[in-house]
Amino acid sequence: MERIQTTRLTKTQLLSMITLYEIGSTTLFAMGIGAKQDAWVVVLLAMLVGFLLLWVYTDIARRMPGAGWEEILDSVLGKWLAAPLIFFYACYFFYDACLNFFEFGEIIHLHLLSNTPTLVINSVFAVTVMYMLALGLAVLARTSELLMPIFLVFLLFTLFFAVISRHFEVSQLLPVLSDGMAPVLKEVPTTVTFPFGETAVFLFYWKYAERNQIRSTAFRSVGFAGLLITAMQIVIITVLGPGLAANATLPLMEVVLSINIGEILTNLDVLLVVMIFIGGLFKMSINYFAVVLALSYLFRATNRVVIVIITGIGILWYSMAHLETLPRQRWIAGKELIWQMDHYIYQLIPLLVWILLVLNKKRMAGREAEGAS
Amino acid sequence: MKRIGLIICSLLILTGCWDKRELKKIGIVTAIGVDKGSDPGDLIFTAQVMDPTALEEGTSPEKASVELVSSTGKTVFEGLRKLLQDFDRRGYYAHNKIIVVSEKLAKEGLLPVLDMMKRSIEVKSYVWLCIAKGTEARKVLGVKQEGIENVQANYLKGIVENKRSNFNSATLTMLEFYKIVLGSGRHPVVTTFSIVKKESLPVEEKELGPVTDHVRLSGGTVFQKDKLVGFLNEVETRGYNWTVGRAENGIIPIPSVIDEGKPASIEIISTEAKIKPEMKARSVSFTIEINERIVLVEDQGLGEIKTDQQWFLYLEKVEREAAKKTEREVEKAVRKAKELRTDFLGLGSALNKKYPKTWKKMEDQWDRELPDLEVNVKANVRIVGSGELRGPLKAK
Repeated sequence: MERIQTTRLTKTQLLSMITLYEIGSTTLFAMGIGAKQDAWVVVLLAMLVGFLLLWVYTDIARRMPGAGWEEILDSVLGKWLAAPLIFFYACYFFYDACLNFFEFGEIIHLHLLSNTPTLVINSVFAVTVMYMLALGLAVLARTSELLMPIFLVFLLFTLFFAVISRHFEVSQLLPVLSDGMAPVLKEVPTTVTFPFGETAVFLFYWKYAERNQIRSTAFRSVGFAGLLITAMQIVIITVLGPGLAANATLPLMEVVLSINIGEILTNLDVLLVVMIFIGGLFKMSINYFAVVLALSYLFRATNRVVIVIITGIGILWYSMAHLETLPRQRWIAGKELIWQMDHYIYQLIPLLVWILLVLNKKRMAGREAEGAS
Repeated sequence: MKRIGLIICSLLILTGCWDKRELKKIGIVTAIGVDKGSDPGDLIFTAQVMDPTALEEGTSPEKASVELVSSTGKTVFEGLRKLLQDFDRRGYYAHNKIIVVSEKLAKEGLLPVLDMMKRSIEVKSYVWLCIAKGTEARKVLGVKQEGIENVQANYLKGIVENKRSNFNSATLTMLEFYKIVLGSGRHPVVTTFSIVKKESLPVEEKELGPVTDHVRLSGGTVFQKDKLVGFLNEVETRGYNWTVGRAENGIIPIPSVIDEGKPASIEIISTEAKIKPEMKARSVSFTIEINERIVLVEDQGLGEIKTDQQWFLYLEKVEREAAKKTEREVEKAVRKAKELRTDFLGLGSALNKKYPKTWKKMEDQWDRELPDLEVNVKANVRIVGSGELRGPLKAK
């Protein structure tokens, strides 16, 4: 407990954690493709909205320095309201971690190791993550710092090769906004909640970072990640065209497989698999560790390793037993099991808390002024 | 010690070869053909499988480098797996170069035929999509190659890629086909193979007799969405290539400007094409503008050029001839598009990009109203040189 509490995240560690978390599983989707060739506009707009949310999230950290989200909820809402809410937050990030976890296991199973049972792939993955998290946040942070350059180099290489390959066609992006803003705006909310609003998870982590670095680092990394995601959408659309992009199971995989440069640079799917793996690993681990933080606060656990192991087994069990197949997971992730609005709720509660904090401060200031006079 | 034990354990547990595909156990498929079967609804799937032993040094040249295997099925994948009933190695499709579909099958639509290949992770979307004009796909794959390549599919791929320096034919990859068919305002023109008879001379030592079959890449196949509707001849194909900016390189024959009645040829260095839609009161008109840079590479006419001014004026005349020729070729393609009522030049797509609102209104009846459209063609030619000679020579 003591050891973990004293963990400090350096600027680069925070930067790489947020960037990897944001890009995370977006490599598996064509974001905002409902707006066809304007999908990249959707991502940019969503990023701007995401900035607003991020400003609120970081402002909470500024107002309550050194406190994690669980402590903030406790002190703002009181014990009785906070306890169930912290538990719900744990559930939400647990569920999010399950979705990520399952997705990556399943994709590796479907596309690469088709004869290996999913259980084996998932277990190996889960044990690795459990081991990493049992060692504490410092290991997670340092691993992200280590893998981030690899991830970026692979991503940039993929984008670069796609751009110089035969199938890159900028004209696929035209006409821009042919149906006006309506289809774009319709897609924005879902793109805000995934991945930009998900930065809410870092409310659990701000207390480990240097107070004065939080906001600038967070904005920089989300902006950076957002631009990379936009670039990914542009490449997907220009290479595949909006029609195929909307219908491909893994659009970026299609893009990567279409690369053929001089008969030498072909079959580059391994680049993407490394990216999927690293992105997935951190998306999942950061959600997972937030669950661990919430639960250990809730149950006043002194031994965090136990919580890590229990949660890890829970994730493994839940994703194997309930998500079953990728199409089912995709359907459930948006709609079924959990109430459709859950993303909005969990990402907007911080806004509420922030308003309370602001009001509280005003009241305090008012009282102080009264007392002085 | 404990750590070392752990590492050894992981080495034993975590490595594995479940998913191995041994080179000795697979048959590398180099080309795929799909034909219509004799029973309605049947497909004939043909795979050209490479035999690596024939490519080893020291094997007798009589041994064929590829095997051609076919089987019939209701679906492409059924046919593919049925192959295994009379062929000993399971196919590996990641090195497939080419997909050939017969004309008859393409008339019924290509999307259902290609579905399996697009789903597969092994068949890459950059493979060339080709139509067997007037023949069966398996016959195209079965013609003995004439070129230098040992593997027939590499020979087919070679002639498809030769289009880069010879724009008499259209070429299209599977991904490009999908992009055009799923997009709006343009129809695809697909790579076309036909089989021609050719006489061989004694030096070629052909066992098949003096007249043999050869594959030729020529013209293009026009699709209305994913259904075959017609063929382009070589001139129309050139017009198509000009319009879509795919005339990367090639030779254009023009009449000599210095010696009437003699031919000359110019080579394309680069081209750029723009389709400019213009809104008029009731209708839209189009200008196809082609900017090309060329070089004079041959002039069979006899004559003499003495001064730089003469040289300049001579080349200027060549420019005009080239522009005339280009415009005529593009006009032929436009006429063909109107005749087939199929907008394979992408006029609609250009309209969509500039005036999306107008396009939305006209989209549905676009192909039907194509013949009434006004299309102007304009070629801007810049000649950059005349090779190593200033002008033609004349014997004294």
